[in-house]
Amino acid sequence: MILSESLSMEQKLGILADAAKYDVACTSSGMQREGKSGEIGNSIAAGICHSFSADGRCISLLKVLFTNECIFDCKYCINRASNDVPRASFSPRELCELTIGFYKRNYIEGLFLSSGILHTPNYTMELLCQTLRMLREEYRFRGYIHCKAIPGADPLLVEYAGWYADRMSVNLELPTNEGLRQLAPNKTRKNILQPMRQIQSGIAESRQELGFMGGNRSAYWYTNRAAKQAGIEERFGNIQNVQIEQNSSEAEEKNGSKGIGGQAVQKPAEIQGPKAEESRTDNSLLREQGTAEKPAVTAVQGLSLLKEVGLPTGRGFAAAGQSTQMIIGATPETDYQLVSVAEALYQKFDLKRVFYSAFVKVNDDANLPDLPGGPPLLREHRLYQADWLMRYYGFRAGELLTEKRPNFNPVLDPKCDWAVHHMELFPVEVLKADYFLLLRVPGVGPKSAKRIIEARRGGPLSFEDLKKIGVVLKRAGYFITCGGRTLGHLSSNEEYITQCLSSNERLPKNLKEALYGRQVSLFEFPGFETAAG
Amino acid sequence: MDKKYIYRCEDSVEGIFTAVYEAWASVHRHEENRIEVRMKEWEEPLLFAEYIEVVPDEEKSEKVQRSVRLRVSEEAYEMVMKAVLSQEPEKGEIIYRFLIYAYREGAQACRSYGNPWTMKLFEAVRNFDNESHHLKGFLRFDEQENGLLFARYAPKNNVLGELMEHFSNRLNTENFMIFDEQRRIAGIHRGGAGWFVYRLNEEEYQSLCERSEAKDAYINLWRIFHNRIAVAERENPALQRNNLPLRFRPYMTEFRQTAQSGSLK
Repeated sequence: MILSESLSMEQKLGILADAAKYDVACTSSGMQREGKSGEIGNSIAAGICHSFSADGRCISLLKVLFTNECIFDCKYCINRASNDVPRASFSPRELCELTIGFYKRNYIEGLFLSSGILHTPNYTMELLCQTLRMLREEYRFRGYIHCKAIPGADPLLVEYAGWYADRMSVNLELPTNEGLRQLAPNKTRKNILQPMRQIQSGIAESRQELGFMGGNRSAYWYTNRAAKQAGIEERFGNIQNVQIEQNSSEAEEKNGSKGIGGQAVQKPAEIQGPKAEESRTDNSLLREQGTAEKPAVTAVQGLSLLKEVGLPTGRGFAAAGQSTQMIIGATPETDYQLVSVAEALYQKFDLKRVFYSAFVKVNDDANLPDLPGGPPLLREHRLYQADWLMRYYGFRAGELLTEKRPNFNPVLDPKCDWAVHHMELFPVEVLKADYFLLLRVPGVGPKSAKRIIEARRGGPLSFEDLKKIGVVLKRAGYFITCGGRTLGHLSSNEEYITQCLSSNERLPKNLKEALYGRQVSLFEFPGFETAAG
Repeated sequence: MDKKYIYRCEDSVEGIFTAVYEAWASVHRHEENRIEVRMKEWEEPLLFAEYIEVVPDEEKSEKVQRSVRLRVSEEAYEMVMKAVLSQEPEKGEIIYRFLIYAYREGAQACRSYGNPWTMKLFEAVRNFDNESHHLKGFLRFDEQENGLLFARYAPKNNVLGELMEHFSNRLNTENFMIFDEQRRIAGIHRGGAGWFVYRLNEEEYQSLCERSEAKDAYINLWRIFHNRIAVAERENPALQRNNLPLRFRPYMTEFRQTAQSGSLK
């Protein structure tokens, strides 16, 4: 082990950036904060990408670990205690200097601070708090801060960090309790869900006390509310979840605490609660094993520091919300389980984002799967697509996948896949359809749907106009009419459309050929070439 | 062929709005008028056309701007202003035609994408906004020995005003300068004070172009970070290029060659 005292700043940064790179959430969104005279920084709600690394991922924040020392021994993690890797730690001041230095040069939007566990969770969390406080109070930093809550740290320390950070996150890491027990023996479901619940309550309380500045709602929340008002559930098929959800909210009221369950999901027998076989309203997905009757986490106190000590209220408590991340492919969960867990997290924990991280095998361990094809990037991609559909389009997990069809189609994105299974709803007349129906059309997104609605008030639109508005006609073309006209010959043949659509997907070439053996020509579609351009 | 009256103006806020004013105030019908903005060069002259050189006039320009805000909407004004600063070569004509339509239709005109001029205006604005948003992230400052933060770039649209607004809010205590080597202008901000845009003379332009990379220790630290944060198993240069087009890179600390001298284009 190398003592960090002997390392140069360059070496430390190299080690601690390298150690943080598997964490995926590098977004700087959700916080609008103007600059202030004499202080440094502001924050833009949409977030800003500052660079892209060789893997094509956005760099928005200075994403580093405070230290890569760690007492935990999680099997999948490069920093686990049993690994012989160079170790380093920053001091709070070093990290502040680095953040401000990078920020001034416009390299970053702010700091993403995570850490291995040095000595104890509390000791580590205290160091993170010291750093954030120094950055905000001494360096007068008004840029974006994302901070991890260390599992097992005292709730007071977690709250303390939340008063300085814009976003907080606790990594779920593995979507099932079983997976966690196998691969992260030092972490428990409770240690992860407890701070998550605490942060949720804190944000809710902060919003109540401080109004909008205290924290805004997630895209999921807004979409879900609008979708409900539009009666989307009745219109797009009878999903089992609807019933389940109502039941579980009744149960919540009786318990006097919020349930933290997901939707009914077929799970491996050993992680189901004892009653799960009988009851489809089981919501033990996010519970401690064997405690199906009561939630793993009960209601927690909200913001004790605000009331007792009167901590700075100029920012609100983690007002850019909470996120988490799950590792994909280290354990044998299905896609259906993953999206169901994500949906439960959005619904029951008010998360802003759930991130998915394709498992990269960095340790040689008998408990870890071999991935001869490399990290499951396509699967990760599909999960993000599905995540978007839930957060912005009003799709529910149960619409995208089912127990019988538990994994995403590798050759079709989840929305196209959904559409070809619902040909009875198409074609949609774009000059008449309402917002949520437009959103169901492959190739139409929230922006283009809004623009269509605005634009058609001023008169009819052509296919050319739709294209310029941002509609992707090479997908939408199969599902719409525009003023009664079609973009060529419409077919309702599922197989034919599937072939056409999937040949459009930007899939790795080898995968595509393996799946089809030959390239399908899209231009079997009369009149298509000119319009799709 | 009908005779055309073509108003030729320089590529500036004043120039373009004065041209709109002159065309509007002329005795000709709108259909007979055309506005041509001098981008790099004038377009090939038309045979049956009369060319009118527009002399930029502050008062006329102000009048048009005020009238757009009052009679159409703030939104329309903002769109037209961005279009003026955009790289769209037809912008003079687009703004003129859009305004004719907008005076008839009112505020709704901004979103009537079925109208070809609204659509063209929208496209110019979207292009402007996209580049401006990109550069809020991709612009890089080097700290000079005297503490000045210095950035250079060559945007397609003239987004300097947007960037100065953004960075003076963010870095209000700092002295910084953003140098647009394409247009030979620089935005200058003094810590604690406001900002302005300055047109560089030949000598100043040359000296800024020939400036060598600052001796700034953070440059190396940033390159280390940028390098180490990538996951080798996920390497994907196509995705990287998609997200961060090559044309920005000669100006970015983490990509550019160390010797920075002369025009980077």
